[in-house]
Amino acid sequence: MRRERWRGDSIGAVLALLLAVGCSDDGGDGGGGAGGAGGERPAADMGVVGGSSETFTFTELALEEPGALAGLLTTLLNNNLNAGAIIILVQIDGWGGGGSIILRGGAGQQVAGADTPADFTDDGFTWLTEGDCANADGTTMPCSVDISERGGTQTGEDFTMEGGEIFIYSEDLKIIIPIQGLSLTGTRDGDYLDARLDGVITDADAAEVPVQAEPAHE
Amino acid sequence: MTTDLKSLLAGARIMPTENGGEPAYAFSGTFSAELVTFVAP
Repeated sequence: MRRERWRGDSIGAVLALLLAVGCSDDGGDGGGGAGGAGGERPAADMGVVGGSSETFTFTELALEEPGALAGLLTTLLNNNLNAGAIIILVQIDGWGGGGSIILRGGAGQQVAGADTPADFTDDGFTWLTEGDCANADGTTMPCSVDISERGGTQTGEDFTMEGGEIFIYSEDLKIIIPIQGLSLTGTRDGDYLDARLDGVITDADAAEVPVQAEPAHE
Repeated sequence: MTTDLKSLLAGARIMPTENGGEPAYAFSGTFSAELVTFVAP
């Protein structure tokens, strides 16, 4: 397994979703599902988008101020991994460049770096998902997917992407989760993005993903 | 000690639903994000 700094072309979007495992009492009330991260970083507007005891629960992450990303993700991660949650991050690389558009899936603990509130354009982050991700049993899977040839449209500010399948990696839990039927739709307005990510984890896949009973994260 | 994701989800009372004729855990999430610039070290 390699841990390397991702060398981005220019602009990427880090999209964070909280996949709550074992947090069934969060469901559907519209707030507080992120374990208080929003309270520590006022720039974040976080709330449960949807969910119940029978579905995954996701948390919306809205960054309203430049420069809050690294600290926010660290807080988000720390507050939720200890509760048995899995953070899903999707990084999009290649927009506007005319080349490949790459989706990289990973877990938040792999994001580290420094942000400068005065100039968010020089922020730097490390990212693990280049290359393969490793399971606890030593098996590996690619953690990024090139969605350029898998369909998508862009009309003005609106876009759709059909990513097929992506593997989400959680280093602390040592698991790789295959997300199928991936689609991303949204609007890009300058430096801001509003998007929706859909996908499924099949029951069969879930039965094949080994999980350590106790997360390694302290 | 290891288990599997399905068991972990079942323990949390998260059960699959039907998706295209196959049991699956469907999800969706919406988000707003600032596009950030990633820089080479």
